[in-house]
Amino acid sequence: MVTSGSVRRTVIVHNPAGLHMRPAAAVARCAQSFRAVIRVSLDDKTVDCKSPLALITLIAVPGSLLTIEAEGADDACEAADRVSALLADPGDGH
Amino acid sequence: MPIAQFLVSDAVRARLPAETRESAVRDMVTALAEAGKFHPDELDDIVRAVLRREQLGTTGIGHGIAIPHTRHTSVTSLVATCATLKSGVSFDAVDDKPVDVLFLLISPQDRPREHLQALESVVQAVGDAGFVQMLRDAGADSELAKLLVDGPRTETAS
Repeated sequence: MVTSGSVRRTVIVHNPAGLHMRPAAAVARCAQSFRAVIRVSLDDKTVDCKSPLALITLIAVPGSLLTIEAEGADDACEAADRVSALLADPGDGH
Repeated sequence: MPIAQFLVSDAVRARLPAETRESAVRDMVTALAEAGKFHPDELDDIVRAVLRREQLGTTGIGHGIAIPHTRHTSVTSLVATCATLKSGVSFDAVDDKPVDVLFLLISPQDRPREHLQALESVVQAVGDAGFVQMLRDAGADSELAKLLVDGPRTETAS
Protein backbone atom coordinates (compact mmCIF):
# COMPACT_ATOMS: atom_id res chain seq x y z
CA MET A 1 0.00 0.00 0.00
CA VAL A 2 1.42 3.36 -0.95
CA THR A 3 0.75 5.71 1.95
CA SER A 4 0.36 9.43 1.40
CA GLY A 5 3.72 11.18 1.31
CA SER A 6 5.59 8.04 0.28
CA VAL A 7 7.55 7.85 -2.93
CA ARG A 8 7.88 4.62 -4.84
CA ARG A 9 10.32 3.57 -7.57
CA THR A 10 11.03 0.27 -9.26
CA VAL A 11 14.36 -0.66 -10.79
CA ILE A 12 16.05 -3.67 -12.27
CA VAL A 13 19.40 -4.85 -10.92
CA HIS A 14 21.98 -4.48 -13.69
CA ASN A 15 25.12 -5.28 -11.79
CA PRO A 16 26.25 -8.62 -13.29
CA ALA A 17 27.16 -9.82 -9.80
CA GLY A 18 23.87 -8.68 -8.32
CA LEU A 19 23.44 -6.69 -5.12
CA HIS A 20 26.54 -8.04 -3.39
CA MET A 21 28.54 -6.63 -0.53
CA ARG A 22 30.13 -3.65 -2.27
CA PRO A 23 27.03 -2.20 -3.95
CA ALA A 24 24.97 -3.00 -0.85
CA ALA A 25 27.40 -0.96 1.24
CA ALA A 26 27.24 1.93 -1.24
CA VAL A 27 23.44 1.88 -1.35
CA ALA A 28 23.18 1.78 2.44
CA ARG A 29 25.68 4.62 2.83
CA CYS A 30 23.65 6.71 0.41
CA ALA A 31 20.38 5.86 2.16
CA GLN A 32 21.84 6.78 5.55
CA SER A 33 22.41 10.35 4.34
CA PHE A 34 18.64 10.92 4.15
CA ARG A 35 16.13 11.47 6.91
CA ALA A 36 13.40 9.53 5.12
CA VAL A 37 12.63 5.93 5.98
CA ILE A 38 13.67 3.92 2.95
CA ARG A 39 12.69 0.32 2.26
CA VAL A 40 13.62 -1.99 -0.58
CA SER A 41 11.53 -4.98 -1.59
CA LEU A 42 12.17 -8.00 -3.77
CA ASP A 43 9.12 -10.22 -4.25
CA ASP A 44 7.67 -10.61 -0.75
CA LYS A 45 10.77 -9.57 1.18
CA THR A 46 11.20 -5.99 2.42
CA VAL A 47 14.30 -4.67 4.15
CA ASP A 48 15.65 -1.45 5.59
CA CYS A 49 17.74 0.23 2.89
CA LYS A 50 20.04 1.77 5.50
CA SER A 51 21.34 -1.65 6.52
CA PRO A 52 23.96 -3.10 4.16
CA LEU A 53 23.54 -6.55 5.69
CA ALA A 54 19.77 -6.44 5.29
CA LEU A 55 20.20 -5.53 1.61
CA ILE A 56 22.43 -8.57 1.15
CA THR A 57 19.69 -10.80 2.49
CA LEU A 58 17.50 -9.85 -0.49
CA ILE A 59 19.71 -12.08 -2.68
CA ALA A 60 19.05 -9.66 -5.55
CA VAL A 61 20.58 -11.38 -8.57
CA PRO A 62 20.98 -9.58 -11.92
CA GLY A 63 17.58 -8.94 -13.44
CA SER A 64 15.81 -8.72 -10.08
CA LEU A 65 12.98 -6.20 -9.93
CA LEU A 66 13.35 -4.08 -6.81
CA THR A 67 10.76 -1.73 -5.34
CA ILE A 68 12.02 1.23 -3.37
CA GLU A 69 9.73 3.13 -1.04
CA ALA A 70 10.78 6.26 0.81
CA GLU A 71 8.65 8.22 3.24
CA GLY A 72 8.53 10.17 6.43
CA ALA A 73 10.62 13.22 5.55
CA ASP A 74 10.77 15.90 2.91
CA ASP A 75 13.84 14.33 1.35
CA ALA A 76 11.92 11.15 0.49
CA CYS A 77 11.78 11.95 -3.21
CA GLU A 78 15.49 12.64 -3.53
CA ALA A 79 16.22 9.60 -1.38
CA ALA A 80 14.16 7.34 -3.61
CA ASP A 81 15.82 8.73 -6.75
CA ARG A 82 19.40 8.47 -5.46
CA VAL A 83 18.99 5.00 -3.99
CA SER A 84 17.22 3.76 -7.10
CA ALA A 85 20.03 4.99 -9.32
CA LEU A 86 22.59 3.11 -7.24
CA LEU A 87 20.54 -0.08 -7.16
CA ALA A 88 20.25 -0.01 -10.95
CA ASP A 89 23.94 0.81 -11.45
CA PRO A 90 25.76 -1.86 -13.48
CA GLY A 91 28.86 -1.36 -11.37
CA ASP A 92 32.48 -1.52 -12.39
CA GLY A 93 32.92 -5.27 -12.61
CA HIS A 94 34.33 -5.79 -9.11
CA MET B 1 21.12 -22.34 1.64
CA PRO B 2 22.65 -23.98 4.74
CA ILE B 3 26.28 -23.16 5.41
CA ALA B 4 26.98 -26.90 5.32
CA GLN B 5 26.18 -26.87 1.62
CA PHE B 6 29.20 -24.77 0.67
CA LEU B 7 31.51 -25.03 3.68
CA VAL B 8 34.68 -27.10 3.21
CA SER B 9 34.77 -28.73 6.64
CA ASP B 10 38.34 -29.96 6.21
CA ALA B 11 39.49 -26.37 5.75
CA VAL B 12 37.93 -24.96 8.91
CA ARG B 13 40.52 -23.65 11.37
CA ALA B 14 40.01 -22.75 15.03
CA ARG B 15 42.20 -20.34 16.97
CA LEU B 16 44.62 -19.52 14.16
CA PRO B 17 47.63 -17.60 15.47
CA ALA B 18 47.54 -15.17 12.50
CA GLU B 19 48.46 -11.65 13.52
CA THR B 20 47.52 -9.71 10.43
CA ARG B 21 44.67 -9.57 7.96
CA GLU B 22 46.99 -10.77 5.23
CA SER B 23 48.27 -13.79 7.14
CA ALA B 24 44.75 -14.76 8.23
CA VAL B 25 43.60 -14.71 4.61
CA ARG B 26 46.68 -16.64 3.46
CA ASP B 27 46.14 -19.29 6.14
CA MET B 28 42.52 -19.76 5.11
CA VAL B 29 43.30 -19.97 1.40
CA THR B 30 46.08 -22.45 2.23
CA ALA B 31 43.58 -24.54 4.17
CA LEU B 32 41.32 -24.69 1.10
CA ALA B 33 44.29 -25.67 -1.08
CA GLU B 34 45.21 -28.41 1.38
CA ALA B 35 41.63 -29.64 1.17
CA GLY B 36 42.14 -30.03 -2.56
CA LYS B 37 39.77 -27.27 -3.65
CA PHE B 38 42.19 -25.82 -6.18
CA HIS B 39 45.72 -26.37 -7.41
CA PRO B 40 48.39 -25.08 -5.00
CA ASP B 41 49.83 -23.01 -7.87
CA GLU B 42 46.70 -20.85 -7.65
CA LEU B 43 47.21 -20.02 -3.98
CA ASP B 44 49.17 -16.79 -4.33
CA ASP B 45 46.85 -15.43 -6.99
CA ILE B 46 43.78 -16.17 -4.90
CA VAL B 47 45.29 -14.49 -1.84
CA ARG B 48 46.12 -11.45 -3.97
CA ALA B 49 42.59 -11.35 -5.34
CA VAL B 50 41.05 -11.51 -1.87
CA LEU B 51 43.30 -8.75 -0.56
CA ARG B 52 42.63 -6.63 -3.67
CA ARG B 53 38.94 -6.95 -2.93
CA GLU B 54 39.58 -5.75 0.64
CA GLN B 55 41.23 -2.65 -0.77
CA LEU B 56 38.01 -1.80 -2.60
CA GLY B 57 36.10 -1.84 0.66
CA THR B 58 36.37 -3.72 3.93
CA THR B 59 34.48 -6.95 4.41
CA GLY B 60 34.67 -6.39 8.15
CA ILE B 61 30.97 -6.14 8.87
CA GLY B 62 31.34 -5.38 12.56
CA HIS B 63 31.31 -7.26 15.85
CA GLY B 64 34.60 -8.94 15.02
CA ILE B 65 33.37 -10.65 11.86
CA ALA B 66 34.70 -10.41 8.32
CA ILE B 67 33.67 -12.08 5.08
CA PRO B 68 36.68 -11.79 2.76
CA HIS B 69 35.89 -13.12 -0.71
CA THR B 70 36.74 -13.13 -4.37
CA ARG B 71 35.65 -14.60 -7.67
CA HIS B 72 38.35 -16.77 -9.22
CA THR B 73 38.73 -18.98 -12.27
CA SER B 74 40.32 -21.78 -10.24
CA VAL B 75 36.99 -22.93 -8.77
CA THR B 76 33.98 -24.29 -10.62
CA SER B 77 31.65 -24.04 -7.66
CA LEU B 78 31.64 -21.89 -4.57
CA VAL B 79 34.03 -22.99 -1.83
CA ALA B 80 34.14 -21.50 1.61
CA THR B 81 35.79 -21.91 4.93
CA CYS B 82 35.69 -20.36 8.35
CA ALA B 83 38.43 -19.52 10.79
CA THR B 84 38.60 -18.06 14.23
CA LEU B 85 41.74 -16.30 15.39
CA LYS B 86 43.54 -16.44 18.73
CA SER B 87 43.47 -12.67 18.78
CA GLY B 88 41.73 -10.10 16.63
CA VAL B 89 43.36 -8.49 13.62
CA SER B 90 42.70 -5.14 12.05
CA PHE B 91 40.35 -5.28 9.08
CA ASP B 92 39.40 -1.59 8.91
CA ALA B 93 36.00 -2.93 9.87
CA VAL B 94 32.93 -0.72 9.83
CA ASP B 95 32.99 -0.48 13.63
CA ASP B 96 36.80 -0.33 13.86
CA LYS B 97 36.82 -3.46 16.02
CA PRO B 98 39.44 -6.15 15.43
CA VAL B 99 38.26 -9.24 13.57
CA ASP B 100 38.57 -12.74 14.97
CA VAL B 101 35.87 -14.63 13.07
CA LEU B 102 36.28 -14.92 9.32
CA PHE B 103 34.31 -16.56 6.55
CA LEU B 104 36.24 -16.83 3.28
CA LEU B 105 34.21 -17.30 0.09
CA ILE B 106 35.73 -18.12 -3.29
CA SER B 107 33.20 -18.12 -6.11
CA PRO B 108 33.42 -19.09 -9.75
CA GLN B 109 33.04 -16.32 -12.29
CA ASP B 110 29.51 -15.59 -13.48
CA ARG B 111 27.58 -17.43 -10.76
CA PRO B 112 26.09 -14.49 -8.85
CA ARG B 113 23.18 -16.34 -7.26
CA GLU B 114 25.43 -18.87 -5.53
CA HIS B 115 27.67 -16.14 -4.15
CA LEU B 116 24.74 -14.04 -2.94
CA GLN B 117 23.09 -17.07 -1.32
CA ALA B 118 26.28 -17.93 0.52
CA LEU B 119 26.72 -14.33 1.68
CA GLU B 120 23.15 -14.32 2.91
CA SER B 121 23.67 -17.60 4.77
CA VAL B 122 26.73 -16.23 6.53
CA VAL B 123 25.06 -12.91 7.35
CA GLN B 124 22.06 -14.70 8.83
CA ALA B 125 24.23 -17.05 10.88
CA VAL B 126 26.46 -14.35 12.35
CA GLY B 127 23.40 -12.32 13.26
CA ASP B 128 23.07 -14.75 16.15
CA ALA B 129 25.50 -13.41 18.74
CA GLY B 130 25.25 -16.56 20.82
CA PHE B 131 26.22 -18.66 17.83
CA VAL B 132 29.19 -16.44 17.07
CA GLN B 133 30.37 -16.76 20.66
CA MET B 134 30.18 -20.53 20.36
CA LEU B 135 32.35 -20.30 17.25
CA ARG B 136 34.89 -18.24 19.17
CA ASP B 137 34.86 -20.71 22.05
CA ALA B 138 35.54 -23.75 19.83
CA GLY B 139 38.99 -25.04 20.66
CA ALA B 140 39.46 -27.54 17.84
CA ASP B 141 38.99 -27.45 14.07
CA SER B 142 36.53 -30.35 14.20
CA GLU B 143 34.48 -28.69 16.92
CA LEU B 144 34.27 -25.45 14.92
CA ALA B 145 33.33 -27.35 11.77
CA LYS B 146 30.57 -29.23 13.56
CA LEU B 147 29.11 -26.02 14.94
CA LEU B 148 29.01 -24.55 11.45
CA VAL B 149 27.46 -27.62 9.88
CA ASP B 150 24.83 -27.83 12.62
CA GLY B 151 24.14 -24.12 12.29
CA PRO B 152 22.66 -21.72 14.82
CA ARG B 153 20.05 -23.19 17.12
CA THR B 154 16.59 -21.99 16.20
CA GLU B 155 14.62 -22.80 19.33
CA THR B 156 13.68 -19.78 21.40
CA ALA B 157 14.86 -19.42 24.95
CA SER B 158 12.25 -20.31 27.56
